[in-house]
Amino acid sequence: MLEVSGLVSGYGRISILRDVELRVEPGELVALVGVNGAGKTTLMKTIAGLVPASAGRITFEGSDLTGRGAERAVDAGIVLVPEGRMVFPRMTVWENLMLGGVHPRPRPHREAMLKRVFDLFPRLAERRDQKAATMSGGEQQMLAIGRGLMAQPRLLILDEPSLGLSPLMVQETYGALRRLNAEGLTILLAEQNVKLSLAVSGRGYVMENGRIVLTGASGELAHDPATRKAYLGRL
Amino acid sequence: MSGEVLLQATVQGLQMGAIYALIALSMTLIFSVGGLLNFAHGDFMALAMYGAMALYQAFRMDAYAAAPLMFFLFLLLGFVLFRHLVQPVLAAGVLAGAQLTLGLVFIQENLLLLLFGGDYINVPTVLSNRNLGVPPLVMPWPLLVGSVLAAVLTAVLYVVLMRTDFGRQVRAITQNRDAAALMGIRVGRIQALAFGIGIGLLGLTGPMIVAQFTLTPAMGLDFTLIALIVMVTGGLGNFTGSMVAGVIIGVSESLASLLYGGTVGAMIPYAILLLVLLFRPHGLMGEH
Repeated sequence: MLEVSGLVSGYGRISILRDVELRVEPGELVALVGVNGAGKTTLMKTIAGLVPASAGRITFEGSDLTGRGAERAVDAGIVLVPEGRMVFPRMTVWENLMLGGVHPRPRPHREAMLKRVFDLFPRLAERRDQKAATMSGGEQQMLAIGRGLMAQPRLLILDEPSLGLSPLMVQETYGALRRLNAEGLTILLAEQNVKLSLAVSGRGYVMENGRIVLTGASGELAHDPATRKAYLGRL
Repeated sequence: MSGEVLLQATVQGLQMGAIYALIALSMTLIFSVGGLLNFAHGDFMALAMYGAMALYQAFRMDAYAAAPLMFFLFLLLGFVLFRHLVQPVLAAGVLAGAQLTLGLVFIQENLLLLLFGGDYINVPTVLSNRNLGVPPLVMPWPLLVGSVLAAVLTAVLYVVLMRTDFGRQVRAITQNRDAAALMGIRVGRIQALAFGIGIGLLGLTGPMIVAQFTLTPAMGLDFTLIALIVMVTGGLGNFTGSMVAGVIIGVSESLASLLYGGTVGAMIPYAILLLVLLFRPHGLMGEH
């Protein structure tokens, strides 16, 4: 479904990613783990078209998305829920969600999607007219995921969805991701929280210094002493 | 001082306030999408006024008939200017963008000087020198029509910004540009449209209030100053704030002119700006 090959990208003259290879098959939940600064966010942003690639290819369902920009990525069905949530602070929950589906592809289906998002996160329905800035971190994360779903993604990419959340909220967020994946949504998940992300995912990639250094079934990765020792610090 | 005179001054202040609010709101619109301070704001309006004058001299077309035409012309001008001049320069930073608009000031003022000379020019319209008497009030028709139109346009623009997909996209870009891009919003296009609408509104407003002013090539600066003062007083980038501040400054200026003379009246906008900045550095409705 998603195929990344030989990808090099970064900011200005500084390359962060070096020769990255990554695949995601339909229906999978794939984890991308690594310490802070390993290049996970840059990889996610490059796939979503926010950071241009300087070499390599990103193909999605057979079409080449390399260097085509964020609008084209959304059009193809790739939606990124960014690190730090990035909800629109001075807009209501409803306005944020409407913007999530403002692209011409999902726009005609917004009402139906809104209902699904409210089913998944009843809390958002309760807070419909509340300004996003006034909500807790966990609620903002729900909103960010809900806003991403409004774009009717075929591949949902999440960057550090557990960052800064209380353990209860982390559980709730991951519960929602599991449910979405069980319903058939393909998910690519970048996390520092290795234990958690390898527990929910089927396959994983380990990133270090802008490269993929290990890949395999998540269960094996989690117990691979090499992984543990070399890259993950604590587990 | 009789109550009737005070009422007269208040009504006139409200009318000027509506016009200030619209000019400031269009400046806020331009500011909000890219952080661009448009120092050429008033000069675009002056250009539209001269445009109305040229149409009158060439075809005896009335300024009120020219206004819709100028709206579309300026909408297009703004869109093209943004795409081919403002956007590339703005990419180099907000300061470069501000320098660009300062450059536009000189270009426009000297263009007007070159084309129409430095003489003061009045543009006669169907409403010039006519008053509407609603005892005890006497209102000049041009001001009444200009202000009612400004109020209507302000309301329409406000509703568009707050209640439509276009408006939500504009606000999304203001609040988090990267997140807006992630929704698939075409940031460059929305910015160009917002800039075009901001300039287009000036194209519409200029001819509508031209009967109230004597044209001179450097007149744009006064409008730019008042728009800046109103925008900063209301809270930079806050649409509601621009509207409220426009009305407050219009009314205060008019009342002060009446009570203490024109010199004091002209100082009032600056005094209000100073006071607001002293006690509310982010403006009346600014958030931070």
